[in-house]
Amino acid sequence: MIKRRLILIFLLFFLLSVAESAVAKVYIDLSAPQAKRLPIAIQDFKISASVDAETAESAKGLNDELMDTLKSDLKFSGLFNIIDRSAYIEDPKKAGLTESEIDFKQWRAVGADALIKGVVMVEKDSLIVEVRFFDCVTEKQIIGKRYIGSLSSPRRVIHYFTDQLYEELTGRKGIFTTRLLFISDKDGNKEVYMSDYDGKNAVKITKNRSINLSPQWAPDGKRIIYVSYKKGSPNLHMLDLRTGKDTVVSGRPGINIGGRFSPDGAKVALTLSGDKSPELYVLDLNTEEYKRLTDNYGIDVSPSWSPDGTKLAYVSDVSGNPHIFVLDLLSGNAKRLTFNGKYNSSPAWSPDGRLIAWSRSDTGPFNIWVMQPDGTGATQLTFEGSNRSPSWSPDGRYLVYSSASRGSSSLYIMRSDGTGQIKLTTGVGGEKSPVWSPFLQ
Amino acid sequence: MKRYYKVLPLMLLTMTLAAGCGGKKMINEDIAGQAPPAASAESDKAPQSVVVPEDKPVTEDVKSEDLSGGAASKSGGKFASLAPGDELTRVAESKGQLFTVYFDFDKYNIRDGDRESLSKNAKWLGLNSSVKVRIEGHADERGETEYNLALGDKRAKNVEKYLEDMGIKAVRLSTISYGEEKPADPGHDEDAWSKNRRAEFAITSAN
Repeated sequence: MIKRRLILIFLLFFLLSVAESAVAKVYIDLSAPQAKRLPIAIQDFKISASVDAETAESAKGLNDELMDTLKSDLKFSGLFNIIDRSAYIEDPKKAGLTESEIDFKQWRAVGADALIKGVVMVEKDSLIVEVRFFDCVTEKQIIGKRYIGSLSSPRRVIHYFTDQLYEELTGRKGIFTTRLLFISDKDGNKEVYMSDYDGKNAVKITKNRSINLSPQWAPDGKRIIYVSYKKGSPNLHMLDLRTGKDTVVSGRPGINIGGRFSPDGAKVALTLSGDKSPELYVLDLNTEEYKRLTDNYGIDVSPSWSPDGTKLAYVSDVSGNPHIFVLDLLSGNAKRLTFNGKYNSSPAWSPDGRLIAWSRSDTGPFNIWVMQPDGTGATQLTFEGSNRSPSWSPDGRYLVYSSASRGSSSLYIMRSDGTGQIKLTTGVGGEKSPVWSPFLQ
Repeated sequence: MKRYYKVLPLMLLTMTLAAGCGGKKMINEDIAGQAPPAASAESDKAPQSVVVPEDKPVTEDVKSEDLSGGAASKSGGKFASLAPGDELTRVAESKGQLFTVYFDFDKYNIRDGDRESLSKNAKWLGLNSSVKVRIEGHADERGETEYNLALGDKRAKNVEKYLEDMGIKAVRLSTISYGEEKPADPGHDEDAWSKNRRAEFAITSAN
């Protein structure tokens, strides 16, 4: 099932090659302080005339879902101002799909600088969607692609398109095909779930009915590690998402928790207790050798690698309460970063290495904060509810986190400056411990 | 989930017995003088405490029903008693547990008030020298998942060390941390949290 979902989308071929003149043009400069939103029109996708009546009917139903996904993605990108459909002049049934067939004057008249059109086809279990993106001013097609996906998850098809569109317009990789891992106990046991970046398409990927905790992605996005009690005690497991093969990565006496892959994927930082206090270790996945990093009476947990792999941010209570520290792996020196707050936890190093996000509680609820890796510039990002477990999107522009009130938890996404907080609807409920995948394309 | 189906009838039975036994409260009060306050508070929550550790044979619960249905002073169970009808032996017979100890928020040191419970546990283990126990460390829900797993580990290990210092052989003791994952009280207030920051003793082997 997992395997199917992971491999169901194949980008087959360019339907039409991208016009060379358009490639070099960056439409939207993300580094500009006030990037202007591009006014865009999205015409309802056509149902291909080549399919029979029955499949055409199911394709019609798909149109709504595709449109919903597309609008949701474009809105999330923050790049577009979507012009309401009621303003459109063009009759979608009669209008053509190519540069020469489109009367761009009609689109400019409603204020659209850009236009998206598409065709939907259904062949057995396959969903085929052709999507085109036009510049209404130059009257040129900028992107034209055919996507072949599965009828069981039409949203993925659109995410592939939005990734491409985003990269085309900004010169940066999109995060629309990325995924989330999270924990939910809604079926009676804490299990690991995986969803799209927007919380949709959620599937349960562990089904062992024990306790499963703190999932983490491998840098290749094809494997995950997580803590599981499936063999009785808290061990670190690795699940290959392609094959479904599950193995114990670390099953030493005591706790084997908080595993985090090094950026090169060769090592895992984790906490082991054995007959000592919970200490940080690095496990070399090739040699299976453990190297101890901390040695004190207290608790050392939740390591987060710096993107260059030379440092670990982590939580320690050596100073009395849980605080964030950074350990230099070359020198072995640890530096304390937080001095305020009663409880500091869940450090997460940003992909560009410039910030560490973490959750902090002073008297009661937790909130998400960011600071520079030297501990300066601490800034509070959330102010309502109890917010924990921040995890960066691979482009560093967003954070996913869990937010709880009265014991009920759900997932939220916000921009890295704390603005644009939106609740994710996974349909699962009780979501905790979210982690954003690396780029999966 | 499956496990609870097995336990559910027992829970109902226990609740019925507890409700039907008018003298239970009295008996508890009678022996409360011997037991530390924390332990007597624990014994008031009969239905919840019947949820057994995963590896404990269900048959032990059946035996426990025999005992709690009878007089509290009944002797001649499978364990040696510290005194006729003592609370600790009753807990061991009925729940497969010893006295639970509790902790302050984010702390893993043994509280002074719990030393008596642990002394009794040690004494009892001395008397029942074939019994093996697993010490299960727990945390309340307020901290982070991973930190709480470490906290539960520290709590269980500190209790284990305390018992070892009192002469119980290490081979009879084991530990596991459940972090915040198995609360004794599902509530979201200090009253619940104080009951959840604990180390429980589960009898894993009686001979």
